[in-house]
Amino acid sequence: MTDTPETSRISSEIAHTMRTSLAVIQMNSEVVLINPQIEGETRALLQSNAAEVQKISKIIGELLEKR
Amino acid sequence: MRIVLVEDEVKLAKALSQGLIQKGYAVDVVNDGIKALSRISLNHIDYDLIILDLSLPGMDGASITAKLREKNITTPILILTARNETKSKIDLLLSGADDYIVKPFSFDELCARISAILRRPTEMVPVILKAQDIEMNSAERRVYKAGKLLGLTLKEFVLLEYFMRNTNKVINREELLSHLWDFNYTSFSNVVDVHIKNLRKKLDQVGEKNLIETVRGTGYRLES
Repeated sequence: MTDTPETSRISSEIAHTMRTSLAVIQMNSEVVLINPQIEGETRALLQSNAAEVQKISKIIGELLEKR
Repeated sequence: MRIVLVEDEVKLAKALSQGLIQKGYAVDVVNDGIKALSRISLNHIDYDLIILDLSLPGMDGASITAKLREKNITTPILILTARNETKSKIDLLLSGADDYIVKPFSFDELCARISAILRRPTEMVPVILKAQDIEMNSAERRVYKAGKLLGLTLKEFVLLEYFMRNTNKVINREELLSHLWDFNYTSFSNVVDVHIKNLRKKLDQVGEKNLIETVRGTGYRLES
């Protein structure tokens, strides 16, 4: 895809929307994790969700955002 | 510690405020930019920190930051941004924000940044400094005299900035040397006098008294 001001703007908007949704997923997971009663498999699952969100965030940065 | 959280994404605001409350903070949530500006303007004394989303309905986070700083409200501001672009980050910090964090972020990192900001002295230094008819924007490194932009060298700028941060105080040569020059300059050097002289040339009108006064035998002073 050619990098015109318009495509660059669209990429930036897509990145923005995705980052906002990912923030909700990560925050929901991590805030639940504050509770020490969340243990074992549930804790591991929520931690894994938060880690995957960070991976997607990195991909968004590489594919869609200008440095 | 009381925090105002300005975030229009309701789910994120809810999760964040729940987390912060569990960490012991008192949290007020506002979902709209204009409401946030008016609430913070009226109640800023009650807040220890403002967490501000960048994209908000009504007025964006960068504009709110700039408006608060214009009013000399120095409450620390941490920006939440979904834009991970360098220019956007630079603009945020220049507008007067203290820190930013890019979405999606780790809750623990957010808490660490909040603690770091709250450890700083409560009396934050404003970005815009004023003395008589001089106005200095220290973030943009611009100085205006009676509204006219002055062309100062970097050294003249930092020298004037030091006076503007210490108005009405008599400042001696040694203090200026130790704060603004490295240790290669000794108090026998006339470097301070030379720079003061150059700065005065740019600041003062012919025939008027010097804005940076000489206090005989003691040092220099800039009145507010």
